[in-house]
Amino acid sequence: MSGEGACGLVLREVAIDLDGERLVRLDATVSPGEVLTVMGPSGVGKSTLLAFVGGFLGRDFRARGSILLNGRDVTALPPERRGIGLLFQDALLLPHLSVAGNLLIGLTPSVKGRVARRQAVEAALAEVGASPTAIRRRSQADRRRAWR
Amino acid sequence: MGAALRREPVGSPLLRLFPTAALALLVVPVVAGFLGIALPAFGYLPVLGGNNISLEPFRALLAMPGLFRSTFLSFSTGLLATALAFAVVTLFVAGWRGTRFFRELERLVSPLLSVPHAAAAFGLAFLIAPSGFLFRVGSLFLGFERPPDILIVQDRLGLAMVLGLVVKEIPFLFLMALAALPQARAAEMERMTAALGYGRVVGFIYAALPALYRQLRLPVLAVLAFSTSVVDVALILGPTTPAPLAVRVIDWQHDADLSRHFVAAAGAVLQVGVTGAALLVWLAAERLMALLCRALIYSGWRARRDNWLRHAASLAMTLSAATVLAGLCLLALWSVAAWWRFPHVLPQGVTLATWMRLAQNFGMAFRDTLLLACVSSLVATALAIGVLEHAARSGLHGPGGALHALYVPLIAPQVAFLFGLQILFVLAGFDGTFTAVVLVHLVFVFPYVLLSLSDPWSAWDPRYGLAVRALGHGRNAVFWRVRLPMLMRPVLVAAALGFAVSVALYLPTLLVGGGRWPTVTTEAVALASGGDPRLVGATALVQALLPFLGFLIAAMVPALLFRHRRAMLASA
Repeated sequence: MSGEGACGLVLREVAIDLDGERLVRLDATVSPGEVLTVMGPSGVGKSTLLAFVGGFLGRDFRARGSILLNGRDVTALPPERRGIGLLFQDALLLPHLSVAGNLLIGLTPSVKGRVARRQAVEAALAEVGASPTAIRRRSQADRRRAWR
Repeated sequence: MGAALRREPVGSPLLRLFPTAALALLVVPVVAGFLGIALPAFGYLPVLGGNNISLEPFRALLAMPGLFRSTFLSFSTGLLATALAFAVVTLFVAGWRGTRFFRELERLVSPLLSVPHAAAAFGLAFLIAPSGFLFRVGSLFLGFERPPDILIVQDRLGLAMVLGLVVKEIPFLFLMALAALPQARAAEMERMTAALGYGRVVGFIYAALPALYRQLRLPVLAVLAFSTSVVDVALILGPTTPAPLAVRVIDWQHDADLSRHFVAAAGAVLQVGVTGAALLVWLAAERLMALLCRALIYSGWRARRDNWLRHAASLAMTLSAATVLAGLCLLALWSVAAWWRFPHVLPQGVTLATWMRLAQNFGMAFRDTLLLACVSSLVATALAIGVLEHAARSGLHGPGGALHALYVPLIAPQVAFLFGLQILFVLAGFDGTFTAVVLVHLVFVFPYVLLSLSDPWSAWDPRYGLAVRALGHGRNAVFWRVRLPMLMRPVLVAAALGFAVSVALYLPTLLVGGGRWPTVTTEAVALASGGDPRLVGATALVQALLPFLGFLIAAMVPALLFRHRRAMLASA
């Protein structure tokens, strides 16, 4: 990454406390394509750090520092305006929606119009070899593909 | 993701209106109602010529014949019914939790709970009366040709009324216990006490009941307050010479002599005292029971041979459920009976004449019942969703402070504050309007809707919301597109419960509706004194079936909407 915050994710002087105890203290820069692994025993604050980055930190926590994404300070933005996605360990599909519905809810709003959005979803389904019926029903295989 | 993700940011200003509105709905009518009886009880009600504060209404009340007996009846029957229902539920949960039989009865809770008090009371009357089904069956073996000359229904001690209350309050307390059981860690406690050599029932009472009872205390007190001031069940099954206090208050209030309004107001104040005294006795009994249990624990008594207690509890639970269900069957039989003389066990002919009469004469009551129940359950459900969504966005688990306020209208004796509220509505020219009746229905419907919905709402996995927000959607989109559809089933069940509560409401409809909003419940209870049993059976059956209709719709809509979503069907 060339220059601070120009591209990628920057965590600057991040410090998170719980009940007056320091849980996380971190300065890090993650360039595009780079993978940063955060490791540590249970309770050390890995999820807390991700919650802070995603904008979901609970009110019991006290956090300082800033988050820059592609040069933009997103620290004060609500989760939906940060552009930072979270993927949980288990496939957290929305059970009341079809595979297509699950894809549509994640499709960027820049794809406009009902037909265009539907075509984008069908193209994505075709790319991973999911059956066209996935729009209404889903198999175990479709379920896995929906998360790719 | 761990605990860090469990709380979401603060709620929006618009959502803050919901808890405020809910608190106002729960508390203001009760406080206003009590103020509304306090002034006439002390002689002040200028529209009826009461211009001075005096104790005259209380003097007139004390001069009423049989007042002490009425008061004692309300007090004793309420306490006895609550104690019996609580004992049966506690012993059954202690003795049978985790068994197949327990799970079978668990399934019956909602249907039993949805049967209105009045319908269950009529069913019981058709079962145990001297000319009732049990004596008809008995006559097959004992050979009597006429109903025995004994007073069973409306007996002087109020035992039939106690029985009617017990069979209806058992499902309510059982449901509350089921909701509270996970927090009592009953399974671990059972293993621990069994390992120490305690019998199953006593082990549960020693180790799990204290935690369970903390969750059950408010529902139990609500049952006690209801039982000491009940009117519809008392009119059907209770004594008449004299009647319990709440029934007499209503009689005085409806007396053609308007000066009796002052006596009724004083009687309503006395009813508050009776219910308050019963609550104090119950709280004192709680302490005594705790001391007794502690003494037994210290003595090392393990009560290993408790099988008889387990079987007694299962018998009581089964009989209670069977009584309500048999009562419903008898309502159905009477509704189609052409001729059913004693001692015939079954009707001698079948006809639809009663149902045709009902269709001709009760159309308006049916329409008003549906209208009131639909509007009040929809408004209550919307309000409950708003309260819970605000709590969720504020990082609270459950409805927060509103949870305790929920019990305000359930613990305050209905006859007292509704009578006061009616006086205020009359003075404001608001009585008898549709809005007034819906408002007073909401006071009773909303607590049950919120109680029913708060657990599923809190149990919803917040990670769905986080994942969808991370995909660029706001909190409102999460609510409308994810949380609400995913919780469609519990929302509809809560609405159906609200519908059932509204259908069953007698006193609020009668007092605030001023007779202008007849419902199947007010019509059924009005038939209690000397009504044709066929018409009573048909009307009470309609009253009992309407809540089922609500639950049926609540089950069918999600099944239809999510017929291609196996995960949604599996979460049912």
